Amino acid sequence: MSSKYSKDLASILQMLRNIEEDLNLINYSETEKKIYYTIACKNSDNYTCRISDVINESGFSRSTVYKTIKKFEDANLIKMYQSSVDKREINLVLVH
Amino acid sequence: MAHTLKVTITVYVFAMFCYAVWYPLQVIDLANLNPDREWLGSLCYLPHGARVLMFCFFRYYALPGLYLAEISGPALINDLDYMDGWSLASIASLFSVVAAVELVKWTKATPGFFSFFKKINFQNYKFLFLVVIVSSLLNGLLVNSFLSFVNSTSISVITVFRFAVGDFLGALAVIATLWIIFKTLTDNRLLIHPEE
Repeated sequence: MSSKYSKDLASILQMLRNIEEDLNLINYSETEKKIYYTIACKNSDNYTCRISDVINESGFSRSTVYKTIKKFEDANLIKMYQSSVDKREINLVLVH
Repeated sequence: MAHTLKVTITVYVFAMFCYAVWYPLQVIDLANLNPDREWLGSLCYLPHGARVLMFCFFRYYALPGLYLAEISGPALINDLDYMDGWSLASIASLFSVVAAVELVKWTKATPGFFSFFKKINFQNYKFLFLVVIVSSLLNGLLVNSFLSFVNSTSISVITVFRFAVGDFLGALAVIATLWIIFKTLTDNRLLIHPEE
């Protein structure tokens, strides 16, 4: 493949990427998206989602999950509540 | 030479694909905008998206492929639906895109003095949308003027407006579709950005 041809094709992809960036849809990494998706799935299946569930389901380390949840909470995407059943557990609820 | 050939094939295949998708959709007339079949076409003319996108990114190398698609697209799909002089009117369509790009360039989208040889960085998609708007308006005007001259009919303002809206929405639909495909590929890690 000639370099000029591939550069032109790459420009089209970069333009599409710029649209996505400006629409602000890729603020989060793949890991963060997966953690959010896990929380959303757990909430829709069981109406509750504990942090330990997210760690087990997503397969990410405890620190990664905690860091990501804190980021989501700061962005007002999720809310954390203390579990009424087990006071040591925190339940996660999607804001929207 | 190899670059021109590759670009011509790519542009031709992409433009013909747009024709192939657009024609059945406008026959079905999903939005029921033309129930009595009073006019041919649609308010979402996808081939204009191919014209704009291919010309903006492959520049003048795209013109042979685009013109081939302009004359063989209608012939392969349903030649009888098109008015006399369409193959020449398609030169006006291509000219409208070229003129729109040069106009955008002239408005200082590129730094320094105006030159036909300077390239606009269309990675900044706002320039692309500007070209879509200007070329749609020019295309509606130029093609209808040409067709009315060849067929000795009068120009209808409604038709010019319909062409402009159809070209604008069609080009947006093509860009939006490509963006959705791109997003799906990146989300599924089938396409990875070199920086990641």
